[in-house]
Amino acid sequence: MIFNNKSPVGIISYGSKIPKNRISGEQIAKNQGKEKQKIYQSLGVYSKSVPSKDEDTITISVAAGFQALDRLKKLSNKDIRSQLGSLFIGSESHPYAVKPTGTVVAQALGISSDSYINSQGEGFYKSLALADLQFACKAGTQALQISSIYVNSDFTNYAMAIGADTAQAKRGDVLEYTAGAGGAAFIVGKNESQFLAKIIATTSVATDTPDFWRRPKEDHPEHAGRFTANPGYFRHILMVVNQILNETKIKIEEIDYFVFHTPNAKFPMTIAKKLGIDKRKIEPSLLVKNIGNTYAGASMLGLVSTLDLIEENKKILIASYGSGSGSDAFIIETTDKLISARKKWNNEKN
Amino acid sequence: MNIQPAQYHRSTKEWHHLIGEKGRVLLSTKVEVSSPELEDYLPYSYLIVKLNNGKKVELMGESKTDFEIGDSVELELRKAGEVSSSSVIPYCLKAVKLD
Amino acid sequence: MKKIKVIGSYITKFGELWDRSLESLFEEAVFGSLNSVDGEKFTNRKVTHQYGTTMSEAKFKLSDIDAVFVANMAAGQFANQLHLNALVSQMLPNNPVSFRVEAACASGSMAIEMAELGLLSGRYRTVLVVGAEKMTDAMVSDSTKILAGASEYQKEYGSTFPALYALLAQAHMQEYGTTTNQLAKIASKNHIHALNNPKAQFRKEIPIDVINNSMVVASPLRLFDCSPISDGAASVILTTKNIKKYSNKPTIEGFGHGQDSLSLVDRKSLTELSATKIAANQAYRQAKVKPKDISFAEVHDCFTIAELLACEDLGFFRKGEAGKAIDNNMTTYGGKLVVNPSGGLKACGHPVGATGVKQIAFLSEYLEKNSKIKGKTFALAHNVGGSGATAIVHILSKTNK
Repeated sequence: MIFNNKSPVGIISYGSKIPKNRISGEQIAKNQGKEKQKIYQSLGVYSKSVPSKDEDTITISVAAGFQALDRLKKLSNKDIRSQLGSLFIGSESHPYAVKPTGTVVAQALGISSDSYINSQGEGFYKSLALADLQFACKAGTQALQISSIYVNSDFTNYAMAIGADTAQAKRGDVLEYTAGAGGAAFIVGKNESQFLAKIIATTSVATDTPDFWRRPKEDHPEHAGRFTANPGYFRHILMVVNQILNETKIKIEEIDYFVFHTPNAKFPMTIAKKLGIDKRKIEPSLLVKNIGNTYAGASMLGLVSTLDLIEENKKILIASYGSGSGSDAFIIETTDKLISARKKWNNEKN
Repeated sequence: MNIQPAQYHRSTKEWHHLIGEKGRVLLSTKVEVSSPELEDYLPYSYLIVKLNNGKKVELMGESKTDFEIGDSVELELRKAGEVSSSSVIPYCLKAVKLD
Repeated sequence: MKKIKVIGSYITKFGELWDRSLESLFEEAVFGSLNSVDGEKFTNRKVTHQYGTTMSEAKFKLSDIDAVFVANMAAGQFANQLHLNALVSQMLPNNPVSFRVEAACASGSMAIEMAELGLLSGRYRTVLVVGAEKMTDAMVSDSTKILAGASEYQKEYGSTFPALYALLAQAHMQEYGTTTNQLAKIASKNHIHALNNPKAQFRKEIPIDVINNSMVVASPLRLFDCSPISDGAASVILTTKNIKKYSNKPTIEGFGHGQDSLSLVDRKSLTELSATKIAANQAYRQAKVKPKDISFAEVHDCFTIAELLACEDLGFFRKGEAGKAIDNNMTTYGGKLVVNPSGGLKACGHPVGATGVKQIAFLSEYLEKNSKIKGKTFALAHNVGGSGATAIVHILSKTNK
């Protein structure tokens, strides 16, 4: 879908949360008794983030969401929470199987339907559409896509999308080197004067490809080894990239930066090679080298990292990947407001 | 600590007023003995924090972190303790150290 | 104020009393204090109660008890037992009017205060006050949770009693330079005092270096800075009747009651318990005495820092100087006054509901044996609820002519 100029949609703020603790690839190799194999080097992941005992997807989502709202308040001097009418959160590690992560997050952020009613029943109830999403590592970007459509359709003036995970891996498995924790939140709005990045287009693909899965009573996922690569990750990312470029008629050379899903640091490099993209165009998104794969948070954090670093008037193509399988793609363009926003946020921090 | 649903529901009302508030540690004690649901979180710090808005709060520090008087902190939502796998999960505000 | 005499008293053994139920502890204390009342004549008739305790029926009859005041903090949680006022009232054949009083660790002294108000109103003339707690049936982990109910537990996750008093200790150390060694000396002194108290839970000296090296519970408080979990009961009989007959018995000269916020963050100061100061001022004013007149004091040392704060808040030493006084042995025999001659909560034990009653019972018995040969000797009892939200002070005297 291409968003037309009559109903523009853009990212007006963003936030993130990555747990403080790190464990190095070397330490994991030592724990596995596989020091000599240097698996972490072949994956390009030198350390990963480890959540504290008291952190989970809910706490990470709250922190990321709060930062996005707080930053927006600093930019616009307005509290838009009473108009934030939808919240979608994508994760593979929602703390409840039944009861949404989103309702706890909404309560904590003050965007719940009863956040504006006092104990005497005075005030007003606000609308809030909310659901948790599950589609492996693309659940976060799916939340972003839904949020864009909700704003574009005038369902709500402001929408929040969060992708967050505390990834799990079986002891001794190769996934141990990369299963990280973290999350990002984006606030989407319709007022062009607030856009840090305009969302030009979005599309998605999905097929039944069982490369990685977890049954309800299992603690850890299973994966199909090398089947996750070509039939899984590479096929779907190439599919969705072709799809969005064809729909928008934008040439790949016109894209300044790319954010691909990061199950490790090598796969996005391989995609870049297959597409004939200069490696420097994906460099800003490769947080994975230090924090690991944050699953539903990965592409979202890759986008955060890119927005933190790049210049105005640059086009970014985002292509996430979720096992099972599917991909979401976006083309967005940064504005000069992104630069002034970053300055303001950094000044206030100091 | 298995929290009853209605108690949980009431306890969440004040969160959004305090999340993200910053302040300084006035007093801090490192707790080494506590109730069973906090065993995995030991040792934890228990603090009195003076917030930048003038209010004082009493709360736990983030898991496995030492705090000293004068440390700058921010309030974040964290899990309050470990409960049975069938219970409602309790969350509370904790102080997180700012670098 | 009408003269109130303490004419009977009894304390059970404090400790881990595995063979004793809550009811049996209440019964022992009730009949113990009744049996301790002097009678002019004793008949040979024995009254046997359903629990097997007996007493000699003397001129002082069971029916002379107009009302019973029962102190207990948490029998509902520790022993699944409520309706304690009825439980104790039924022990006496005439089922006197009975009240249960709860104010966390100040339950005992509050029951005494309620009894005094009943006597001073003229409604009652002779009353029995009994406090008991049976804590050791619960797992230690559950005890921590039950005791934390005396603070704002629902709001403050992670708060434990040691943590709250540890913060008070931190505040005092920061402001006045009080040291952990001074706190350790308090524990050591109380254990030495308990050697002379056959009812005490612990009757063993603990060297300072053992205290200083015991495990940290909540910094800076260590294991031996904390009072134990205990079972026990205590009872007193108070009267405003036939005062001349009991002229050799201790008199309650005054009492005071102070309140403060449950939460530490709402307190005006963290280096004092203002509830104690309020209660002490009221008691001193009513008794017409000053802190320097007090010879013995049973103070609320749930943690060593609590005794140090009490010594300052009760006016025994100036603000910030209690630590030095402890270093100079001013709170033991040969010093300015004797603080916690029973061993305090630390060494005698702290069955929560019993403590405040035990303090009055102990001081009454102590005054009978240790008052000045001639003149008036004053003693003070100080009991605190929670981390200082409630404080009650009593002043007793014994006159020898």
